[in-house]
Amino acid sequence: MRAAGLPDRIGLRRGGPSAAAPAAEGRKRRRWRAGLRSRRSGVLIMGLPATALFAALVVVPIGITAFYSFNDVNFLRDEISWVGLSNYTRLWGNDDFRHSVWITAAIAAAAAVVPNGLGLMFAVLLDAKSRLNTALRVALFAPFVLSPVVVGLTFGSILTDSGLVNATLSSIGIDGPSWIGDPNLAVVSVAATLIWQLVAFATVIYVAALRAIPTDLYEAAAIDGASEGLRFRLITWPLVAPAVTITTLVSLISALKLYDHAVALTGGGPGRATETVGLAIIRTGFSQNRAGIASAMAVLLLVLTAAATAVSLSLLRRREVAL
Amino acid sequence: MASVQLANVTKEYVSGTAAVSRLTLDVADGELVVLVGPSGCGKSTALRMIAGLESITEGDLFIGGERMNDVASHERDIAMVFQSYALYPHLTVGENMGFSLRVGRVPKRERAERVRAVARTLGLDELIDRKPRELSGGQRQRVAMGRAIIREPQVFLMDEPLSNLDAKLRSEMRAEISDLQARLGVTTIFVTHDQVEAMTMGHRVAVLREGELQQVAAPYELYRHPANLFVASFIGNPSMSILRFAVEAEHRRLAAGPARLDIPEPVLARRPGLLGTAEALVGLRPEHLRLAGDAESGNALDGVVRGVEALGSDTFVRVECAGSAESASDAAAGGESPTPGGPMVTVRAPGSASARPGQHCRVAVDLDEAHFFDPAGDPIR
Amino acid sequence: MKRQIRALVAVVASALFLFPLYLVIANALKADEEIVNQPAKPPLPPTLAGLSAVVEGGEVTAGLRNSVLITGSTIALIMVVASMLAFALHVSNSRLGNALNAVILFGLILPTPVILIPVFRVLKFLSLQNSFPGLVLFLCAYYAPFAVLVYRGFLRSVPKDLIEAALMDGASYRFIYWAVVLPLLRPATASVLVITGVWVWNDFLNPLVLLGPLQGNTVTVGLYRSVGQFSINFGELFAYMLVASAPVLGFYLVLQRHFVRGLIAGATK
Repeated sequence: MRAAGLPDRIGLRRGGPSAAAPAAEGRKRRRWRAGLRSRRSGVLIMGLPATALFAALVVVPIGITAFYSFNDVNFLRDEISWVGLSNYTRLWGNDDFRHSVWITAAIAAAAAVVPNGLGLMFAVLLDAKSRLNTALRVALFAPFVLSPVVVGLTFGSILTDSGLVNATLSSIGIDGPSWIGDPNLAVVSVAATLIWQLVAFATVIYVAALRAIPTDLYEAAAIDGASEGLRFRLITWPLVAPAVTITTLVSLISALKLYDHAVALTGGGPGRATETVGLAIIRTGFSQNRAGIASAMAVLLLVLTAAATAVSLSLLRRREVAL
Repeated sequence: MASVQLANVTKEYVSGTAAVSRLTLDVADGELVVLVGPSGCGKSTALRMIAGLESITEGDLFIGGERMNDVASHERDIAMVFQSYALYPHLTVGENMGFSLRVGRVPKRERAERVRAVARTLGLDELIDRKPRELSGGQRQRVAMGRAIIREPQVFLMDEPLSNLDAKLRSEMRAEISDLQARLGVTTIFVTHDQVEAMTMGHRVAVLREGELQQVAAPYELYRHPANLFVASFIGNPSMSILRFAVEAEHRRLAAGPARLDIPEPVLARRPGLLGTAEALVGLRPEHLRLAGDAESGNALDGVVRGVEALGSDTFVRVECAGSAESASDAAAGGESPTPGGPMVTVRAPGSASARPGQHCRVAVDLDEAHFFDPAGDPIR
Repeated sequence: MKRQIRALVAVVASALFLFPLYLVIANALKADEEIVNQPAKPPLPPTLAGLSAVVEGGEVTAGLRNSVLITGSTIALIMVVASMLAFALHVSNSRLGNALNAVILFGLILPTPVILIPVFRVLKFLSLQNSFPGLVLFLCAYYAPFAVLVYRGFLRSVPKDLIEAALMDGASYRFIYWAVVLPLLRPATASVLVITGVWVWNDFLNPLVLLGPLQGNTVTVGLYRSVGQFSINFGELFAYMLVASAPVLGFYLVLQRHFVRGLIAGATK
């Protein structure tokens, strides 16, 4: 435009390949006649590989699990026989399984609450901009990237009768309890192991949530004379609502599928004191080769997980909206 | 080159709302037509239907005489400049401009040659290896233009291409695009919400409102003879002042509060319908109003100065007229409630004018140049 | 003053919280009896006895190799299939696509124990039981929903104009995916690779069940299997743990920005 030597418009179009274009264009045009819409649904083909994988290795197995749960399944003798609801009724009367459901639910409840509290605490502590805080934030998240097996074994070494915790307690004259040997305390120990990792996750989420709150809100409130406590209650807490939602959901789901931590820390023991539903499914299905019963457990776990997710999601979302 | 015709083109969403209804528009070969209107008027939707990015619910679209409703966009031989420029951030300026050629499997050598030629045209030769984020707003805008030009399309479509530029650059680019379009002679449809852009660039301007075409005309024609109250108040900056008057047929005059304006003979001759109506909306451009001396006779309104905008060459004076006549401008612009107080008019005064807010003044009215509309907004003839 | 107290509280609380992590690192560099008697003592002077004993066993290096192989192929596969699916869902906006999306999201809450028994049957049906490819395919399917979620979240921030402009230039969706979308998704891809990489590396139950004992362990499974033989020798156990954790910890430290961003992108949807 400003340049003097504007090439002639046609001059830009050279002969050669473009000359052959019209014929090809005609062909192509007919192919696309159907218009935009069909092209758009055609793009779904690109999703085929992922969809096929997911269908074959997740969706179909869920169906098979549901099917097995109504059967007596013996892989060794390759026998499958329909038994209706009897797997479920047997579970109903099974005290061990009831215990599994009970401790899984209890751990889930603790996991839904504690990481929220501690994560938010850490995030508030580390909110101010400083090099120290940046380093601490990076470090605090590290537990989340450790393998649950490593975490379980490490906590095991700390919590054994002669471990660090009891050694510390005895040095101040307290005779520490048996953290892994006592059936009730063992459940607490398993929960603590999981929660340790979840706190790390929650901290990251809350740090990001605090970052997203505009500082001028705090400045305006400070000018209005609101105390730090009031500012937290009126600004921080309502505005981190989405972080509460996500932390709670992730914690709940992690607790309901709990397996690795418990295996590494207690192996389900003492006895079956810390046998979560996940452990029960694997032991029953693989070690005892009773796939029918294990599948009934699996269906119940899935229903429990879906219900817990749906209920807490709707509650938390409603809270998000209300605030 | 190609003409573009829209015949009763309608876009209706599943919800039943019509974004564009029965739009008919002929764009001649080589013409630059601007679609203008407030946001949500359907101008972008109309452009996207021409581009093939939205399906056409009803009606026909022809490009170069061929019906294009069901033809994929890239087969329509059109190029579009997006408001956001749609530059690929991971590609260089040259790769961005050459993208369509790459898609069209133009050989590398030819591609590079054409990119260079277009870059030279646009003064971008130095920047060919830069990434978009290293460019200024104006340079990005040019790359977006270059990407359209390189395809040598039959039609350019431009969707608010200048709205992300600052005021000074915008007026430069206005001129550049007009110039370029004139040189290449490519049919161009240009969408904007800015009436200054529309008036300065369009060979013809189409005004849309709520999906309906209000008027298509050359800029000056649009300014001089707006088809209705909406066009009258939308076109022109500062916008036309609109006052509501009762028509006193027996005295051949307009009345509002204490104000009385005699209707000149030529006006009545041109608009015989005026005396047949009880009420008229009178549109007055700033240049048809004048700050008058107190002793002056002739049509005038008394008022109080409320605001002064001194632009140097001109001074625009906002005057609140005495009396109960309500200002109709706000109603015409749609939406906003009328401002409290008396009706406001904007007067163009010489740059040397010395008006101060609060001052009483007299505004001389040149009714010969005024526009008359009935309360529904249609012109009185 | 208040600031300093706050910083002090932060440091003390963080130190307490991170103590188990310290144990993993410190005790891997200490002799056995030191670990038992003075577990909290810093490794001064450090000894590499535990580490070299573990590495000399040979099993660990094999485990590391298997883990690298499995993790690498899983995340590469996930990157490709999940980004393609996310792009397809993003563009198509059809009812079929929305239904598919809902099903995929359901995958996010699914506990693996629920499906492991049938997955083993399906892999057996495909003659992929007890094999690396079988495990990789399953891990890909199982972790893909998260990757799709991250990609979809990121795609929402890609201006629609970019895709439309390419369409108008006549590009096919496949071409747009390769030439436009995939390069733009690079930050999301980084997040997906880091996060799913860590998860796959750490995964215990899936490789335990699906690989079986004969095909070689991942390092995580190997660690668990070794517990019996090392239960007396804490030095070697901690060394093994450090070897199993160091890659993910390093991976995380280098790419923690992507890790955090990806989690948040996935989490806020």
